Amino acid sequence: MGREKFLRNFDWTLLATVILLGLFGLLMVAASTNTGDAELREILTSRFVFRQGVFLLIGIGAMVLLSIIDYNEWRRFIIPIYIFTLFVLLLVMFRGQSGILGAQRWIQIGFFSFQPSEFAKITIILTMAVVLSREDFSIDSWYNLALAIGPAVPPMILIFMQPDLGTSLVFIAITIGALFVAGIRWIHLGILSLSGLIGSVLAYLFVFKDYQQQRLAIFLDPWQDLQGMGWQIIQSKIAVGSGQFWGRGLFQGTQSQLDFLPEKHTDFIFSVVGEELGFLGAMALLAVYLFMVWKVFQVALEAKDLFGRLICIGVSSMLIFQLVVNVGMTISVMPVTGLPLPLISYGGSSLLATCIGMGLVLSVAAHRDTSLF
Amino acid sequence: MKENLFRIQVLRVVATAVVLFLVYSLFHVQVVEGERWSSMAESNRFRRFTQVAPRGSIYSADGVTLATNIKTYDVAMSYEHDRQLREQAITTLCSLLNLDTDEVTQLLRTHQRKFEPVVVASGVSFEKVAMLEEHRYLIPGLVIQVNPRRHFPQPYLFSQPLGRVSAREYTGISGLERQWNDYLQGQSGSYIIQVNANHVPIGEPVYDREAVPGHDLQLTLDAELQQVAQDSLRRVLEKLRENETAENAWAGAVVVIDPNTGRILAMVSEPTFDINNPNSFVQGGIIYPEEVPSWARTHGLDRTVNYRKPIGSTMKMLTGMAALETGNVSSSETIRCTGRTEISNQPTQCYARTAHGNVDMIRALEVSCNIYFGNLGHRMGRDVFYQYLEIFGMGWEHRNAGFTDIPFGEQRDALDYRLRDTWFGGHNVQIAYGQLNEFTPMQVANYVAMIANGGTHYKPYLVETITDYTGEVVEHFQPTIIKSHDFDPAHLETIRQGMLAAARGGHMRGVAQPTAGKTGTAEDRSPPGNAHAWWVGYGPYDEPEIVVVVFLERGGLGLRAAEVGRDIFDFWYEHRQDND
Repeated sequence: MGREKFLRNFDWTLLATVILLGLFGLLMVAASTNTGDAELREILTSRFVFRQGVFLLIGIGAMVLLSIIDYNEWRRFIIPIYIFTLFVLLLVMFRGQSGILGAQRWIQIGFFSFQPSEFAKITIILTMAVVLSREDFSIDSWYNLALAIGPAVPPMILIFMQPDLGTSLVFIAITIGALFVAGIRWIHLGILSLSGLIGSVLAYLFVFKDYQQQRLAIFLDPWQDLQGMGWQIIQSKIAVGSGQFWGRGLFQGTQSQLDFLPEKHTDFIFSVVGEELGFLGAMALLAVYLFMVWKVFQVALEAKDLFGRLICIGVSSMLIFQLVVNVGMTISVMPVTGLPLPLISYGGSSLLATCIGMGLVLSVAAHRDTSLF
Repeated sequence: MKENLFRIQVLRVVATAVVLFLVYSLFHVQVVEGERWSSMAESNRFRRFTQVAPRGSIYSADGVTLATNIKTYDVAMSYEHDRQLREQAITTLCSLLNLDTDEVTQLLRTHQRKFEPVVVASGVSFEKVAMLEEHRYLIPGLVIQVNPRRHFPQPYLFSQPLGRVSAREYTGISGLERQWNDYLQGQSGSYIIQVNANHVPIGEPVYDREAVPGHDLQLTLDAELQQVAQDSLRRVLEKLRENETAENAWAGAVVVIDPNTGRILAMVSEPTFDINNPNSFVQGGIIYPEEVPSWARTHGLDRTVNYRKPIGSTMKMLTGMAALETGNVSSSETIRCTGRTEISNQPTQCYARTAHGNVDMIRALEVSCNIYFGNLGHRMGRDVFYQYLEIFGMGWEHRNAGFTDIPFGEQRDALDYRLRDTWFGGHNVQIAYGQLNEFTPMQVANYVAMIANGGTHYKPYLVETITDYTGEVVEHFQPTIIKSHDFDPAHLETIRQGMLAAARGGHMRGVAQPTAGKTGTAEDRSPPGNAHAWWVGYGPYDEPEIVVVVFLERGGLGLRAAEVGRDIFDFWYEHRQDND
């Protein structure tokens, strides 16, 4: 493909949207880790802002690089990528570092600790896309359906055991999105959904750890646990609600600034958005987010092959699921599961993994067959 | 393919629908209910505090409290968001407590966790606290915290082995306080208090997590014995300086251990410092008399375990055992002492050049004959001697073996003299009577204990039992044998008799029970040049209960150190023996 064609096909708008959201995230990380009277120089050199900025630059670089490479190249490497991902997830299990609530999610490499489960999401998007887009494969039977779902199960179980319920639920969202677009039969989808429902009730009763059960119970009635998780939920809701229409102004939220909000620069960053920028700011963020997801769907529609389509569907399923769960949890319409808000929350792994996903989408866009249109 | 495209459109609609659901929810929370949440944020004056757990107490074996907690008032500020109120609070507070406004402002601004109050002044008097309470309405965010502070009832007696506790984190930073910090520290708690619009706490604190007090330690140390040892050591050092027999005798150490278990009964190191006064540890914080030389101003140093010097003639029992066990000499063989000679080109002389005549092992120990032991050293050579140093626990192995349960400073290899490439025959002679190599008083105590108990190397230890705050015993420590060596009992008997003869004939004359002992005078040419005085002993002779090591740095003749030993044995025989 010629350079000229690549440049013409390249989706500049989508790239700009991702960078815009990344910069907005940087601003919110600054707002949630600094107080109103901090000086600009202090903010820029503070640990959180600096690190997030560095990861954003790396992420943009990775995104551009991936968009140049034809996404079909990755088919050839899918087995090593998949095996390596499983290996690293196993490593986390045995050698990982504990974070919040004793969950082992991080691995230390040099100066950075990274969270392999974030990258595993991209691996599963690619793996599902490779399996489902094979010419000789069709998910019209239960057997083939099982073959298609199979690869997603081991990493999902490993991540669930870390334990990281939220991220393993993202896997389900990705899998459902990919199966749906690959043409799963409606009757299969119905039976799967029903058994999934029964399965999750059983899982709640028998597999979930105490704290996971508690989280769900507290979600239903946060006031019963004012000192623990309920505190966090209520404080977050107070933060978002008190932003009202106009917001309290950047760096001016009492909830965020007074540290009523634990995890406010990571999982609960949207509370800071809600409090300081108000309904107006929240709407602006959601609008840009929705625009970005629409663009990804557009790329899926225009992709030259099913493989490309499925990559886009995987990425958009991941984004929309995390957006809804994350924002929903700050206003108690979703349970607290510990998912970051992609591109906004503080955290290098999440930011980098999202950029990689968007890089693949940009590649699908740039390598589409324009003769169709 | 068509189906695919349709289903993508379906997904797009689903995605849009769930985002619209978020929009609706946010509209409800922020716009419809916004007013209500906003007023909650205004009245949201919860404050979360950390409650420092009381640190476990430390008791001596005879039940004396060595370390405990007292209450102190700390003044803290929680972050007030309104700048004007905050500045007013800082100004008022600083004028009442005579603090620097800029410093406090800086402290509050750089504190990361704005949700928790920052301590701006600790150890504030009750009067000042009362005054602050009166002005509370002017100082939004004022928090008075009652925190425990470490208190040592005997400020100078156990300073080195107990170690210091940092005031801010309330963790041990040296000695037992550091080594056993995990047990002593307990678990800090936290609680939430609601304050009204004037920042006055209302209602009872709600506990997030109650603080769990730390565990108590019961030590092997005998407080009364420790006091006797310290008094005696101080008295002797002072006397030596005043009589100008040893004008540089400023420092010293005493170790008393139980040879049958390894329990440390006393460990005294001079000079020492006021452990309750954090400033006294810093050089200059303690007031030394002007004439104290700079090398002696080392009050933080524990000379019992972290300080090594040549041990002089107190080495001779080891040299004798090594020669007997390896067949280099028999108990009855005599060597002729002329008072002054050369062995392997090494000029050797006895004290005051006294000619001891024909001496056997017992007599040689009694009169501390350098020529006899110099000859043994010459016969054995370096490697045999070093082998026996290690058998007696005087080697490098202690660095990693956890020689006692208090942390060591950095230790050089005790045997590093061997590594020098300038070794010559005369060195074999000198090491035999305790020159060249350097050892800590604790190492020496352990070696003498092995002679007293027949060859068992116990790990010297300080912590006997650990109990939690309810009084339940968490751990009870048993004596630990590092290793045992099978010595010929006849050889041990010969050496013991030599020590008994040495003590009976001289420095222990008239003591209540038969007691073994040996003096040592170790030359040290390094400035200021005076010799070190050593004395080791154990008693009662037949059933040893204690081993005593006395070290007077630059104290001159070993006989001076024996005075301290004598005081300790007199105390033991009178006050302790019958209690057992």
